[in-house]
Amino acid sequence: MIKSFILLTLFSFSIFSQINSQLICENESNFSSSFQKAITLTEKNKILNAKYDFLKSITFDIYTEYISNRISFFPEKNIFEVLGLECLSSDDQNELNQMLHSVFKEKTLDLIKSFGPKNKIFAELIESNKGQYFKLLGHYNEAAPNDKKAGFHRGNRSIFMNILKIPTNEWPIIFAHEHLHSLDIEMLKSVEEFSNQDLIKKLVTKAIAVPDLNFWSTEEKHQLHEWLTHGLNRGFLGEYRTWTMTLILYQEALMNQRIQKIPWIEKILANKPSHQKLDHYLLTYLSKKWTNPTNFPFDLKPISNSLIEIRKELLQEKYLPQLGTHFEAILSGKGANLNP
Amino acid sequence: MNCLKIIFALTTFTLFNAQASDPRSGPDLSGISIPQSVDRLVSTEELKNVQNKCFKEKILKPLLLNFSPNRLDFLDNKNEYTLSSEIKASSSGVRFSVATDSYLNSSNSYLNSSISSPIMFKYKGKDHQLSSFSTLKIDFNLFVPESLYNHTILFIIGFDNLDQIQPIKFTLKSSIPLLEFAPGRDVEAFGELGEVSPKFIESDIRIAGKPSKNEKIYSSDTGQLTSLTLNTENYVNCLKSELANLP
Repeated sequence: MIKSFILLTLFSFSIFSQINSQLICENESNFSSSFQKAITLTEKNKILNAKYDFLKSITFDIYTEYISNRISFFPEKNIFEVLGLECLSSDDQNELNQMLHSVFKEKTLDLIKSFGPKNKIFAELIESNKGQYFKLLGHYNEAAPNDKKAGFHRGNRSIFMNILKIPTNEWPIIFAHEHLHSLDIEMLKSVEEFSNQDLIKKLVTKAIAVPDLNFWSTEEKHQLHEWLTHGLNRGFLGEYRTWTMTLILYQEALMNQRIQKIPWIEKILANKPSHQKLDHYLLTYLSKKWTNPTNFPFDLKPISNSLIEIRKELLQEKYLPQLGTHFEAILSGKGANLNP
Repeated sequence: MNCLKIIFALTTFTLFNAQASDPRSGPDLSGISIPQSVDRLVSTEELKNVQNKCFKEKILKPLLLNFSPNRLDFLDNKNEYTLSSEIKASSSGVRFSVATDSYLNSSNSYLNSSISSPIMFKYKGKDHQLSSFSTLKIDFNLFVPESLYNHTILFIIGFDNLDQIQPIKFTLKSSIPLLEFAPGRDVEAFGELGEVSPKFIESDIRIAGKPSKNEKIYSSDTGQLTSLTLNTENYVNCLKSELANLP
């Protein structure tokens, strides 16, 4: 009897393409009463397994509904209120919420793989990194850490995406952008180098004691140059590399008619001279929008002057920064694995 | 004077780094070219807290809710249950948790620290680091409080999987039902952990899950170990989700 109940439940659920809250609530109730009646461990176990699959299938449907632009999220309502699923117990809501993180990630990667060869390599690279933490926010009871659409944590390397702020058509592109940050080898190396407290102390001490850069040794000037470049790699240059790759993946997806045009990206691309390479154009475009810090220690003359010089130099095409091995792998069409 | 200026300035910079700025890169088209925070990784303490939280929420709680001892009607009156297994243990020790019917009957108090806090392993009256054993036989009576003898007990084994992973073989013999749960078989944590901000840690940590839906429990249905739904996928997802929440 229990077996037939489980089969019936799964079958009934699968024939609905849209989320049917009434049916889900009925099933929830049936699971609960069947579990109470079950006697043996085997029976209980079967019910729990079926319920797990049932909850997971709801998450697949939520993803499908979202990516098809058939549901909207609101700041004042959580996803269960939006979908009329308040009947789910709080434990089941929590479990379903937990599943959403991984389902949204897996399904988005599957979607991106269909955008073209470069997108496919990118998605496979992300899939091979089993240690990447991804969190969906804005749909349930946890607040996003800032007002951005999404974010990559340079320290613990986790990624969040705020579903409230991202239109469906932008979802795969913003997803790609944040995950590209996690592949930015240059940025990841620089996070460590920039935080070298001994070096910071040395450079700041020197900058205060000797304000004229002409009296610094070649080695000291080189160290300052390197440290500032690492700093830029964590900010402006990190975004430059990641936007370059994002737009390359975007253009491929667009060419293959897998996504629709995103107006604000089109606006960025509209002014690109036809003779100029995308990476050089983006560096120039972004450079105007990324201002140098002016507070301590960046207000010290040797540091601020060096930073200005480095940024001038970067604008020359011959000094264009490297994209790094993972990005090169995507561009070259050769696959790679982060966990060989 | 200049010296004082330098000391003050350096202190200010360190403090500033420890407190300010968002440690995240977003889909930004503009901003400050050099983010001024010093980035940090996950600390040992944070990881332990995350593990404890997820162990309680994703292992203990569902287990006790769904298979509370007073529902353990599948168990017979066998005098002895034996469970032989191999786990990977860390130098931080093995976690033994004990659930009883009395805990369950007292308004969900099984979620408080008295039930879910680790009972560190004692063998023959002494604390032991499991990593120093290659094969271990544990007599249940040696480390379960006598006050629990009259209760129906589920005995749950977990462990903190932070470092120094080494396989441990052990055999448990007991007159009560046994449930073994060793997340380390499914969850691996890599990396060397250290202090946190403002000092930068040259280390990394990744939780790599090999999710499994089933664990084993002894069942009188079959007289053998039977699959039990204890969802380690949820446990792994919880770890990742909690780590992603860290500031």
